[in-house]
Amino acid sequence: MTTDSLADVEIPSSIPVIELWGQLLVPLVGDITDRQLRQVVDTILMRIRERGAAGLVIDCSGLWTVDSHLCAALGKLASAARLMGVPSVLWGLGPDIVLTLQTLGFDFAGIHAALSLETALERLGLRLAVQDEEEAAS
Amino acid sequence: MARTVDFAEPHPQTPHTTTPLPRGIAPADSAPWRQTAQVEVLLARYVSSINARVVVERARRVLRDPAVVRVDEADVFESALRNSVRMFLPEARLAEFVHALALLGNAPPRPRDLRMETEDDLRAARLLTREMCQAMGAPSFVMQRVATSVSELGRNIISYTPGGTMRLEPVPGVTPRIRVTAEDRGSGIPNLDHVLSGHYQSKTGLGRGLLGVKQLMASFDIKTGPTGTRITVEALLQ
Repeated sequence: MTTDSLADVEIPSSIPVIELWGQLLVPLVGDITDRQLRQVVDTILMRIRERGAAGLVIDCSGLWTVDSHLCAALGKLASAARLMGVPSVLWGLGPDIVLTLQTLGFDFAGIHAALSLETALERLGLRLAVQDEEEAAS
Repeated sequence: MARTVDFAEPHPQTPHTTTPLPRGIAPADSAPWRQTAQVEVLLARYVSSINARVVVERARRVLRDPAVVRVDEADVFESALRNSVRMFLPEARLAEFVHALALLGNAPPRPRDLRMETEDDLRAARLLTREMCQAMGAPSFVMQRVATSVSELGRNIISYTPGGTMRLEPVPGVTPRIRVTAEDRGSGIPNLDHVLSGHYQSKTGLGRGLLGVKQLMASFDIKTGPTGTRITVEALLQ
C-alpha cells in the first residue's frame, strides 16, 4: 500500500494571544494541532499568572472543524483559567460544528458562550462608551 | 409543498437568438455539457423531487434541446435554475448546489491512503477529508461530520495503538457516499459492546469518540481482535 506524501502540509505556527483592555483574546483559526493547543494553553496560563487578566475570550469563528479532543482541551483551558480567577467566554462556533458537537455528546455546559465578539466582551464586564466629539475637543 | 410557485418567467428570453456565452468559450463550442436529467437528480438532493422536477422543467425552456445543456448555454441555464431554486433553498445551500452542479459528471477524486502515526498525519487526514468532500460537492454539514469522524478515528489510532492507516474513498452511485476505513495494529478493543452501549465512561474519551463516530455517520462497521482493529464508516453526500 502506498501512502500519500505529507510534504505539502505546511508546518503550523503558534496561536497568538491578544491583550485587549485587560482581556485576553485567543483567535483559533483553521486547523488546530495538538501541539499548537498545548502551547497556547501554556502561554495563556503563564500570561495570567504574570500580568493577570479580567477575562478570556476564546474566538472559534475561524475554526472549520472540531473534534472531541479539541473540545475537551477548550473545556480544560476554561476551567484552568477559572481556577486562577479568570472567567472565559467562547464565541463563534458555526451551526454545522454545534450540531456535530451535540451528536458527539458535548454540551459545553461549563463554558459561557456569546453570539458575537462584542457580547463576549460585554459578558466580561467591558462597556462601550462613545465619546462626544465636542467633549473630546474641550 | 406549502409555497405557491410563480410560473411567470422572471426573464423572458428567446433562446435561439442572443444567448450570452460563458467566458473563455469559443462561440462555435456547442458541445453537450450536462444532461438535464442529471441536473434533476442532483437537485433532488437539495429540494424535494417534485420541486426539482418543476425547477428543471422551467429552466430547460432556455435550452435549444430540452434534454441537453450545451457548453454555450451553461450560464443562461444556471441563472434560470438559480431564479427558481432560490424559492426553495437558502443562499448558502444554493451556493453549495451551484458548486455541486459545476462538479457534476466530473470524475470522482481518487482514493487516498494515509499513514496514521503522528499528530501531523492526523492533521493531514482532516485537510484531505475537506479537500475530498469539496471535490465531491458535499454540503458543509456532511463535510463537518466526516472531518470530525476522521479526526476521532485517527486520534484513537495515534493515541492508543502503535500506528495504522486510514483510507478515504469516494463511493459513486445514485446516492454518492464517502467511505473512511481506519485500520490499526493495536491489541483490539476488549469491551467493545460496553463502549458502544453508551454507558462506558472512559477517562481518556476513547469510548465517547467511537460512539460519536457511530452516531455521526450513516453506516458503521467494526472488526476488532488481538492483532488490530478495522473500522469502516460511510457518510451520504446529502
